[in-house]
Amino acid sequence: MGGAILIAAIAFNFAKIHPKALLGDVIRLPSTRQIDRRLVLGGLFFGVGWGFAGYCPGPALVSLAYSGSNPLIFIVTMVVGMAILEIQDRRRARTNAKQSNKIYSEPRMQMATTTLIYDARFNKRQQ
Amino acid sequence: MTIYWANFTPWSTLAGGILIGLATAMFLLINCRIAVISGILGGLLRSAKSDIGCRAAFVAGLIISPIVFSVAAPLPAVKIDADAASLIIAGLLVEIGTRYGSGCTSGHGVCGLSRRSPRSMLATALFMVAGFVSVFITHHLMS
Repeated sequence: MGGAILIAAIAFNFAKIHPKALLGDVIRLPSTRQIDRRLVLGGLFFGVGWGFAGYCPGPALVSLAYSGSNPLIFIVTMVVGMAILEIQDRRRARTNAKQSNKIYSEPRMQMATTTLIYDARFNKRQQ
Repeated sequence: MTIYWANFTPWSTLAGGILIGLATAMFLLINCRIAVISGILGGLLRSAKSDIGCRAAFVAGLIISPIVFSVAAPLPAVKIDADAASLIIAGLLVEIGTRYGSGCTSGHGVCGLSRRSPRSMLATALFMVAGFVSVFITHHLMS
């Protein structure tokens, strides 16, 4: 890991000075800086799983072609898990969106009715 | 705790690390992506964005690389003695962890530490410690 970081660190420093990749796109690096419960729990879960069978995603993919059914079972489970979590997250996002729509739409409705009432009064007075 | 000296190969490990670093550097400077393997795999299956070719090529390279390697030299043996049940548990834990922790050993361990991201430093420390504990419990205490 030390060797990898040594080389990659040079590249990342270079990218800071020249943030344009060879294929023309701008190099964008993750900007999140917040340390939250998701990160901590995610790191711990990942570590436990990694130690449990000895695979993390990279080596599992690399050994997919030549090391029997073990990496295949691991990768397939990961992909299935990914699909389940993705569906769950999307569903959650949808219900959240619905709820926030409700919150926003109710006052807007109220405002609309009040303006209508005001308009009606104003119109009466003018007549 | 015993150290298996037969498995301790600092030079080839260093060489492998440097190759990973080179790959990460090339991926960043040529394709403008950080090489987060969990994220690339996830994005490949999730969406039909424009960068799907880039992701597919990266994953294909990972899968094909041992075949290319075997032309030049015999492949080092990968010894993973885990049964299907523990592989499934491990796969789920790793997936949940990479998803909510936003990265794996490549994303946080290599890319994150290289750019000295505090989030990645914490994540790497956590998954290293959790990994040690997990290996110790499953491979030493339980067997």
